[in-house]
Amino acid sequence: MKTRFVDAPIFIKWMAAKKKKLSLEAAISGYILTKIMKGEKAITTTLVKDEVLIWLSRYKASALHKFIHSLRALVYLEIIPPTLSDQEEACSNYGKYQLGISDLINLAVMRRKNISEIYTTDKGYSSAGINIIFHELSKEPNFKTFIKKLKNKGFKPNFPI
Amino acid sequence: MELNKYKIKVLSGYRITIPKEIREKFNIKVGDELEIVVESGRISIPIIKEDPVMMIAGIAEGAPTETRGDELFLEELKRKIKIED
Repeated sequence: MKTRFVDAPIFIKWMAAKKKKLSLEAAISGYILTKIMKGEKAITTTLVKDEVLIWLSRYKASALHKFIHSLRALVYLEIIPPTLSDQEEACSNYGKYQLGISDLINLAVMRRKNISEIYTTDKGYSSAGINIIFHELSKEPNFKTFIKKLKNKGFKPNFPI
Repeated sequence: MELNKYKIKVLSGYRITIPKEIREKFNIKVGDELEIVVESGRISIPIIKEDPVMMIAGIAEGAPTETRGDELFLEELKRKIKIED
């Protein structure tokens, strides 16, 4: 199976999940992280990690430790620091795609690592030829099992299963 | 990075004993489930006492999720400049 890139919205949507009104996007995000926890190899960048950290510090700073602890435990998720060459490539691509500079840096890392698929809700990556993997995951048989687990933990999905 | 080595013996039934120092440091109790990771000729046991995904489920419940990365970095930079002024 191809290694996929994990973008910031996956972490953000899962951490912002509403227990009494769980959205499909939040559930899919949690499902993606569970797949990685169970052994699916994936990569992300320190840039994504820091983006999520800044977001979390703004809305729930007391949970920052938990996020880092969780990242440490996701042993199949490799966190790669972008190089100056990645940043140089991102600068050259600025304006070419529907992506901001931090996304372009992630794109450069993906290209360096020969990664063509990304877990994200950001449609901008498709303009750069990257295959977005997200909504189709809700059709996987294990997704239903994951939703069942969430229900047992008190989550109430607001979407049909 | 802290690096400690421990010598352990494989007993009958391939059982091993986690040294006391490690048990105490990581609060490992009888009945805990640990995961063994095999990678490039080495074995490691990351200490996972709780499902790392469920641990962060909804920890920032209801927070806005549509913020873009560049905006987050920019706002952090603005805050820093403002503080330094």
